[in-house]
Amino acid sequence: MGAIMTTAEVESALIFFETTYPALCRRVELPNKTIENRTCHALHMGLPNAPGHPAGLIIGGVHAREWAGPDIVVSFAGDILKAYSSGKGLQYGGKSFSAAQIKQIFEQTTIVVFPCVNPDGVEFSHNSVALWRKNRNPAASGGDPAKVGVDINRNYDFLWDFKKFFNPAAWNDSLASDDPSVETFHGPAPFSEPETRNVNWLMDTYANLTLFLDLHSYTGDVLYNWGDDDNQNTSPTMNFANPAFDGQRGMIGSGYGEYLSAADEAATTAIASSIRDAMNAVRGRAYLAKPATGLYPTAGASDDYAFSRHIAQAGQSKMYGYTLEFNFASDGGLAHPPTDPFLATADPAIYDLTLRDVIPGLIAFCLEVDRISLPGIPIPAGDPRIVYMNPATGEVWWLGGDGKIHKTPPLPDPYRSTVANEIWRLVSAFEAIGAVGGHGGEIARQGLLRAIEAVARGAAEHPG
Amino acid sequence: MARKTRFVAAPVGEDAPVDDKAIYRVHVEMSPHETVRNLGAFKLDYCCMPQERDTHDGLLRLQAYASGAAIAALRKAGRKVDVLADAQAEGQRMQKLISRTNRFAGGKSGPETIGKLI
Repeated sequence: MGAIMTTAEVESALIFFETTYPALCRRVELPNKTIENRTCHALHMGLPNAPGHPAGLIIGGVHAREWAGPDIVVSFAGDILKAYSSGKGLQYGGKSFSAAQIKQIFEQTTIVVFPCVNPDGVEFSHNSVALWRKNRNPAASGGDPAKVGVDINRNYDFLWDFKKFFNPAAWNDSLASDDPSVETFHGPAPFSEPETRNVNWLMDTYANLTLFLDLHSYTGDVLYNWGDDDNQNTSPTMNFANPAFDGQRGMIGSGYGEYLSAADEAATTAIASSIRDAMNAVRGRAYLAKPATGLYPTAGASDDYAFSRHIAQAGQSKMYGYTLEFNFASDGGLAHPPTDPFLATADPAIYDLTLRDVIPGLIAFCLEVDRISLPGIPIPAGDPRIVYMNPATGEVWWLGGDGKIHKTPPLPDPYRSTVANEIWRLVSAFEAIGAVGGHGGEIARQGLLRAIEAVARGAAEHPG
Repeated sequence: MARKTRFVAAPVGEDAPVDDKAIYRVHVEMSPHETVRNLGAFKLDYCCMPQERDTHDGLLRLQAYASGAAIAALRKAGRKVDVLADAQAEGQRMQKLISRTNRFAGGKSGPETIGKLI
């Protein structure tokens, strides 16, 4: 039976994987050191990757007191590396994965794990205040120990400024807080914290991400987008990016609902259900799959940020975001939990059971990475010098015979509005003729600018 | 291998006396139509904790950490607060079970395989 890993052990385990399985994985140093000057690493797993393979990102150790999150991620990585290198499958109680499924993960996808996003907080929780949740940034504390730290999972750039975006009646300490003494203090600005910048760096670096999962505890849920308000799929313009709805969000069951297309809702629900089913098959536990608002509305959370990127930032791949809340609440066994559910995994027996329950969910997640349907990529004939490729948007950059970088026009994204796709197309055309010289080129660019202006003006005058 | 410990915290219960400065693990009763916003003044820590509905009486039971002072204030306001454990003492006991060495030092060994290879 195991014991909770220290942050040093998490780092050492990644070194062990890299040295033991050099053909299957490598460590990735994150660019931002923590406040206490720790360097963090992620682990890239998969065979040398051909361009276009979809990728999945799993993170853990965000909230310091949610013990065993890093251990689950590390042990998951160790299990699939061992299984693939042995040509074997894996079994966890009543849930099995075949050798072919493990092979699929390594040969058809890239999996990136970042086991301990918040090592400063985790160390503090292990050695000082066990109930600590945030990071250890003292910047807003004014010297008061009770005001140290930022909640990393309220610091992402998704509706971060909750007092602007959410209904005042929805403001509470679980949504987010601008009070440093509160557990959900969201920091002075989006991505103010090195921990969130490191996660964002991974999302930027792995352009082919299709799925993202953030491991937490302890409500026993697999949460999928959205987390700011109820999902709705009838009104595309009612969405987080539309300022007309500022001040209305966060009231469950009220007029506002966050737009999620029917296709996206079906896809993300199916994936969450696969993760849930894999965990429940181990020994009959009762994890639930539900929208993230099923826990409570949040602002600045990782799962919504991950999914929002392809809408808020042109050219980003679409990735569904999940928060997996491991452990016991949904079993109905928490009426009087015998010990603190955040810390219960310190008990070696509960530790082992928890790892056995949750690792199958992460393997199921990896199998779904490959099931996401990506559009075909229009690779230019006879020109293999590709420098960038995004299978989610169909965008390819290549080095032409003229020594310049050329780009394919991105494919229309069905999630975007018609207007956004039209502007996107026109901007791409503008970029494509940027190097065309002479009077003709200038006229063409002016014409495209006028067209962009006209589309934008039309959208402003006739919203929706 | 870490040693096993029994996790017993006392005093517990609906009427358990509390120390103002200690932190407790509690259930706070809420009516079916309330939200956590109604408890905002008490500075409870209930992040990532469930709000379970009792199937018998329909009441919500918010799981939270609360200071002894907050518990006293909640009770004074007529709230039913069930003290489950002294959370700080429980945390200190749990901390003793965490690894105190680097079992994988230098990357020379790694965690044992959790699943069964098949």
